[in-house]
Amino acid sequence: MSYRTGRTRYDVWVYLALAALLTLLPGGAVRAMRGHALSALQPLLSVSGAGERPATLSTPAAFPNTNTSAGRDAMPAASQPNATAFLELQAQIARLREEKNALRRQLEAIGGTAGAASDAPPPGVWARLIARREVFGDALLGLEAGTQDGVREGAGVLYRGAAVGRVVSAGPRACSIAPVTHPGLRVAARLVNARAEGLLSGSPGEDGAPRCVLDVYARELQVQPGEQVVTSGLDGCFPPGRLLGYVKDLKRVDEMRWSLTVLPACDAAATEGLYVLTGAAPEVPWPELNRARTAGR
Amino acid sequence: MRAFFWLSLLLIGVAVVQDALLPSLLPAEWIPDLGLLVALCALVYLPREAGVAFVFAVGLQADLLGAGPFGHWTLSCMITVTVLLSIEREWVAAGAAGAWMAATLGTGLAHGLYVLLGRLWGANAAGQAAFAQVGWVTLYALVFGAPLAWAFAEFFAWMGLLRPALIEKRRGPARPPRRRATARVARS
Repeated sequence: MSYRTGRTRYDVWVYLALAALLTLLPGGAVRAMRGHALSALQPLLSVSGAGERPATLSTPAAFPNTNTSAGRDAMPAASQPNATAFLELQAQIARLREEKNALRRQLEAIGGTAGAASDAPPPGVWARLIARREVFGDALLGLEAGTQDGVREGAGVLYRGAAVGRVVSAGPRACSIAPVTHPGLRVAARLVNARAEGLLSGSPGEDGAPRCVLDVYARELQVQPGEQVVTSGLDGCFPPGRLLGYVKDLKRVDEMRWSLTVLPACDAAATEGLYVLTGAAPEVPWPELNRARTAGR
Repeated sequence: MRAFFWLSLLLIGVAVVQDALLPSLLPAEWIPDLGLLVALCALVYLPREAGVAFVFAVGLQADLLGAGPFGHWTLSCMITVTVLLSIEREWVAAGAAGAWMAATLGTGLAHGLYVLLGRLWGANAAGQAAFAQVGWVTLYALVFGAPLAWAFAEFFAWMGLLRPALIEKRRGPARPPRRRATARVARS
């Protein structure tokens, strides 16, 4: 055993106390520090580069019409350019379906004409991936774009039109994002065919592979494995209709609650760059309370 | 001051290699916790004050560049250091082999503590798979730890930052004092 005298005996305890105090720091300060730390390292990280690996993409081909889908094992080889094009098409289809539904609702509401669906991409900036860190499902990715480029905290991040994560901290020249599979991240989501809305959160699967769980509150739910899950736009981070993933299986938690396992459309950690949305937060369609009150009077 | 300068450079270098270089070379599941390995080697090789401060800095860096709850890595690292320092003399006496074993066991302990802390705080949903991952990380530490322990022994010796006990050990056993020529002359 080692027995020390003097101040060296206490230094470990001082550091231990400091470490314990760090856990009590407020979230805002932590996000600011994380953003600035990544921003400070950005020149070095950019030079060394996080490498370019082909993205791992999910496709509905992994979902035969039974519940015994093989999941990720059955997915196509990630390096095939066809897979990327397929993801793009799927994301586009999901968005068009969503727009079609929105237009139909508009048409029903006004009982006449409706505007054409816009195909322009939302305002954003393409940023190279400069850092990756994955520990126990807590993946964090560093991007070479920061507040100087218009990136803000909480902004949505897309890859080929599919929603893959959100900005958790932003520094001047770099920002870090958490993918949708991160256990701490929540995204408002919607099932394309079932039209049910819920909250998507990250969750480690039984095999340790990252998955998402969509919690839906409904008495009845008609969902087939392979059904697309898209953003609902209610969280103010993503525009509605962006592809999030595909339903793998579902189970009824209680009378009104369903838990759906969702395979993310794309593994954000395996991409070479991502598209960060820089526009103002999308309008959340809350009911206009003031107008309703005025009308009530 | 010299130790502070070199250890700061090492801290930045480790962050860049861990977050930017290794992910492009190895699959995500195979990446060892390089920062922790280097820090625990430093704990054995450097004077105690510098070693403990360096492990704290590496833990803080992991928290700053990570996505988990803030402070958990630093706390896990410091608890690990407290445990490892209870047999500090044995690690130091074993030299590079001691640093290798300390780095391997310390990596397993720190990761296990991180998972446990996450569960206690309810911050991450680490399940059985997380504990399996701890085993894998420890195995990678065993594999990568040996060359790292040797390389950093040389690096710290080159920088002149080693503990006095290790400097003595590297010099080898003390030679018997040479007879002075003057004494021989006097006897003759």
